[in-house]
Amino acid sequence: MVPRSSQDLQPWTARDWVAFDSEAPPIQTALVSGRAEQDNADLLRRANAGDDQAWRSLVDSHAALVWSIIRTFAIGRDAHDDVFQAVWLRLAESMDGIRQPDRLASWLARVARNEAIGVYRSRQRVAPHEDVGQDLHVTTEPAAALMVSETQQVVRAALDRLGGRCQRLLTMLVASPPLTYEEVSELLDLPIGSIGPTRARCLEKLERTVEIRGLINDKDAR
Amino acid sequence: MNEEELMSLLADATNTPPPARLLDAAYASRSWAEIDAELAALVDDSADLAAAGVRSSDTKRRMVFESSIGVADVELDSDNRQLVVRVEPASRVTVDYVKGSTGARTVDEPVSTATFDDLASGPARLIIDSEFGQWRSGWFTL
Repeated sequence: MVPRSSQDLQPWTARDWVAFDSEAPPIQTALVSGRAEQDNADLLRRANAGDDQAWRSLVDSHAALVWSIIRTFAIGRDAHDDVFQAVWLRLAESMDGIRQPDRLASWLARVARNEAIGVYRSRQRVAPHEDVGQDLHVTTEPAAALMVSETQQVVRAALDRLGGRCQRLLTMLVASPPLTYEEVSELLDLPIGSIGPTRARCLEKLERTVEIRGLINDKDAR
Repeated sequence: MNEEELMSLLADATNTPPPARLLDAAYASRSWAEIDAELAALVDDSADLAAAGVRSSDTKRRMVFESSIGVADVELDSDNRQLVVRVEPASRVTVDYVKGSTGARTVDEPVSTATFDDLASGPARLIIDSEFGQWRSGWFTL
């Protein structure tokens, strides 16, 4: 798959997406990528040598990303837990084989996606990719257990309502650490040139959900 | 609401840590990986095809793990809680099905095929011992 431009190979943050529309170059992304490579390489090396603090740092810096990807698959709370655990077990035994430390986020996202799809296919007795996540719009944990705000819960509910590829695309586009255009393309099997237009359509759909309309009305009323 | 606000809301809503019990399990998982057996590479995974949009009515997941010692063709039927392992080159094999940190179930087979039934769900891996050596699969989720 050929990237549309060299910018597409750089990590994009939520702020970068706004810049994208005005063709402003994401100045900081190369620095972010270089730092990530150095940090991840060092942490992987130390964790592989038995440094528990380095391992915890790797988990802490990527846990939210892995969890957000897994949550986009409607496989049930227990399966979410199993997949989350499996991702870290896989990393723990693969640390010396990670050739591109700067792409660790993408590696973890891919493992999470594959495990979730594997579980979904075998537990739900259905296979279609586009249906994954569309038949069961439930959140994984009660809000109180996750310490999330009401607004966060509302936005998650809106995302759950979108389901499928839109939910996954938007989640990946705001991931932290950020995923590159190329990585998102690979993970979703979506041409790089389609990501921008698909993102725009998904945001329109998201804004039309009852949850986001409610947020907008609340904001207007204040 | 403009796109910047929407994306900011999304980032805030999705980039939250998992429950503490899962973080604790992730912290602990490094020590589970410490085992002296060659790690086989996952060279084929039917979940990859599903991710690429290939539709299939087959509910089983097929994975192929390859090491310098041998190849394990794994068929995972979560619905029936069954796992079948075929090992090449053929020899008498002992296969341990290791579930998390809770120990192993072993099948000793003379024909290079091991079948496990009534398995509990969750992360697991295989440790394969044949006359050619010992090796292990990566973790997968039943």
